[in-house]
Amino acid sequence: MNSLIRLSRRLRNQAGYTRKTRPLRRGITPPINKSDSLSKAIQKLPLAKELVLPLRVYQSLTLEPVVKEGEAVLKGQVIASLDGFNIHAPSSGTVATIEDRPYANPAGLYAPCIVINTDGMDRWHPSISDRASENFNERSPYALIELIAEAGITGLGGAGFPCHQKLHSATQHNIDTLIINAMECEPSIAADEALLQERATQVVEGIKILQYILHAKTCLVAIEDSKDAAIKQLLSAVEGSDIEVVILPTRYPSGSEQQLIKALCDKELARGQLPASIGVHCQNVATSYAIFEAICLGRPLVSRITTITGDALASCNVEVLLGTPVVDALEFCDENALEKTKSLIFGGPLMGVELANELCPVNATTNCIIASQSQTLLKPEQDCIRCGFCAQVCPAYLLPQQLLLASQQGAHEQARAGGLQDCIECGACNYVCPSHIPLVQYYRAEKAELRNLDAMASRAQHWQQRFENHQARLDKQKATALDRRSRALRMRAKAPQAPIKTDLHDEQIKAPSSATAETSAVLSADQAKSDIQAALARARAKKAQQQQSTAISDKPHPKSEEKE
Amino acid sequence: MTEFIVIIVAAALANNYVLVQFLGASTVYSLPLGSKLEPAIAFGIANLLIIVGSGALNYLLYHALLVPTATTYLYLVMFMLINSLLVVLLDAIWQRLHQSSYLPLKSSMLMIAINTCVLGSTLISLERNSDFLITLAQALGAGLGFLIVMVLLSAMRIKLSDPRIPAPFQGSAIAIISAGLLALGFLGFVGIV
Amino acid sequence: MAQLLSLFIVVAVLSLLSLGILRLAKLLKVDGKAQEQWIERINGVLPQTQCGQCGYSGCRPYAQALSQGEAINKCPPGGAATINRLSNLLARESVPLDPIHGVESERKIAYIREADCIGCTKCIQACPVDAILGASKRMHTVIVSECTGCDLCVEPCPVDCIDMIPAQSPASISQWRKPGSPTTIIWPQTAPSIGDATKGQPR
Repeated sequence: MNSLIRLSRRLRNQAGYTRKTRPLRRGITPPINKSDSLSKAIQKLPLAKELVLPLRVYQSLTLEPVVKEGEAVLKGQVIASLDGFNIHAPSSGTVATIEDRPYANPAGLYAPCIVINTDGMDRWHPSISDRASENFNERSPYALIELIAEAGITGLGGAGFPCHQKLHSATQHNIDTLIINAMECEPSIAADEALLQERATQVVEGIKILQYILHAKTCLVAIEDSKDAAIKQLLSAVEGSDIEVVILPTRYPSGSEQQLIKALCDKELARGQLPASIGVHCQNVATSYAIFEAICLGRPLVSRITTITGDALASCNVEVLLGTPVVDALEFCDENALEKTKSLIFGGPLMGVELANELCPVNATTNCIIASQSQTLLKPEQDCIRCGFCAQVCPAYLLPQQLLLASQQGAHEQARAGGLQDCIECGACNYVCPSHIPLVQYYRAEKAELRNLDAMASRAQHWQQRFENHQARLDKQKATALDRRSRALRMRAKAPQAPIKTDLHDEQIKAPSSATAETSAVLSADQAKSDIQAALARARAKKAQQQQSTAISDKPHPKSEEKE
Repeated sequence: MTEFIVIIVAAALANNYVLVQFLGASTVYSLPLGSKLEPAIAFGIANLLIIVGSGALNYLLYHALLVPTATTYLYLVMFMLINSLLVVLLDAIWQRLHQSSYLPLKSSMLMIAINTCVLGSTLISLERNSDFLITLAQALGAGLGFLIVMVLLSAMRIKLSDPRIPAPFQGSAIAIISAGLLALGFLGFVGIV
Repeated sequence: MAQLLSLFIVVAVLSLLSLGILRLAKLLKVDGKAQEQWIERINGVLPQTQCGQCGYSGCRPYAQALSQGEAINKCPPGGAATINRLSNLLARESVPLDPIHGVESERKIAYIREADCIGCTKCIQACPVDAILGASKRMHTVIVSECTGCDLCVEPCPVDCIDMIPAQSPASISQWRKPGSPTTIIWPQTAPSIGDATKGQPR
């Protein structure tokens, strides 16, 4: 019965609209697993004692701190900035320190972080109320983008790309379709759904701002048909506007940008092509909400809604301040969560990053935290049996099995030729693999490998250029030296009484800028001389020592061996 | 017309020189082609051209030169000489056409000259006393067959570089086993001719 | 007699034919342009450190030697990756690196201990890519972004003040581990992991 209702809704989509969609055919339908956390309202996490804000926001984009250690900050105050893009204090308190701390990233890197000791008052900075404006229409789109940048909004969906940059590049193109992504297709993650259930009006307000900025003719909100309550709220919120709600079947990964554009607009992106170039712009619902808060309430991005789930605790959706250590969020849900947790995953079960450290702070892209009681979600890997299930589910129409082989063997060119760069790392192949091969992990490692290779190739090209320049310079020097020499010879032939030292030119050819005896005589400081003598003596002693040690180890020098 | 097609298909598949008649198998296995298909394809095409060229030229020379002068006993020497000359010629032409992609073939070019597949094709035609067109069709089929096997085995070799092959079977062992399986498969083509 | 005559005729005809074909082949062959292009392509695969560990004076000379059949396993800075690409390009069997020429190691860059530098400019002249900055009697320093890690400056230094230190590759947060490596992330510094953190610790 339920499926019948869904089917009819999909056919109807939304009253008054008959948009033809092309839902994802491939992909998987894992158990949704969201009802637990959605059964409760969004809760506010108690204020953590310490907030850690990484200065590295998106890949290598690192901001400059504008506060000093010990400085008192208020909630919403700018603490780091770069080209008009800011990070704000999520709560009031004092800056404890600015140091390298672990943060959520797959490589396990540290990043410089601003650590704030909260004072528990959570006082807003006074400028917040000044910035709030009810009517965004009064401002120009560019002013609004600037405001969004100042509010430090990054994409809250997945990659965390700074929102203002995305909007700015979109304004260079003619955008006719704005897609608001409310699909949230990955199982267990319910943050966006919870947001829509409770704050749909605000989200729609944010969408209207985006629509105004981009002058988009069509504005679509894509949502999965399994999110009944959210659809209801959304439909009532969009009433009277020209925002269209499109309901798509529940299928993973239909919420991926490329797949969503294909489903809604029937357009496909070429490799490396940006959606803006085909007149489409995608934003996440949570980002829309953040934009609403930034423009209408003047509040910068200091918190987000996150799903905390997993078998180690009771699932719930919480509104969490950015920079809150994960452990605080876990303990809010279950007092003994930390003891029970064996593995901790940032992000969903299919695409998430496993963390080794529960002190990592929650960041803007943390839409889900999974605390699992088992050691790891992965089962032991077995050999590929070439069943081909992975090729059937791959939403990017790749051949995962071939890519896996290439990745495992390190056949980089083959991996590249097989389109590894087009892999969206959705993890559908992992999910269906009967041998439990973590294919996506191999792909990610291989992608990193390919990036390294590219970097190496560009370095090599650079070096080659420099080497050629170097050679050209030497040749030129030699030529001028020869020229001078021949001229001198001619001079001597003309005037034999003037003796000219030709060996001096020889020296110049060999070492045009070398320190000759005359120059050292010019620098007649005894101090310098004795210094050099001492250094040479030191070097000699060191060399002798080295030779001794090599003689003892009886290891001939590779070059001397070659000569033999 | 049908006759020629049948001859070509038979020579390429059913009587495949490498897999069914075991001619030129050594060339296929010993060619160091790296882990890419392109050299294999290039080599196969070069071989195809040589087979057809030598088939035609050898037929003409045999019937126009050796038979009238009653020196047919020189046929083997002449065939090998002509093959080598054709390889030299193709070498030059190929280099002219594909300036930068040519050189990896250089070392392999010699392998064509001593390829039994080339000599074998001519000798078999001679033995059967076939006329010029049939000889040509036969040579074309043989060359195509060689190209197909070359590409198939090369592709297989790429797959066989999988390190999970048990140690005793790695390298040429698994290559010969899989070539044997491929040969069994090719025997199945006997039915279509 | 007639038989001998016909044999002579056949041999003469065949010799003329071969000479003709050989001549034609020679005419068809182009000048060194193809060779040049080919060497350029081989050179493009080499790591361009210009270190000379292969025994040639630079990467291009080695590329030239490679085009004439030199062994592909003489480039330690390129390591297995370069050998692999060379074997693909040259259609030759992939072989492990020849230890005579050195072993593959992580990328290194030169570092001049400035306190010890006497400003002799010998390293400046040795550097194949002009990556060392300095003047006579003045302290020298290595431009990190330009250093290829070729080792060539170490030998000429009279006071041994040049160290080769591992190059710090720009850390990328998307550097994923290959499966099979331990499931937990190994942090570069010692950080408390799950379970280590005590509850009473101020956070």
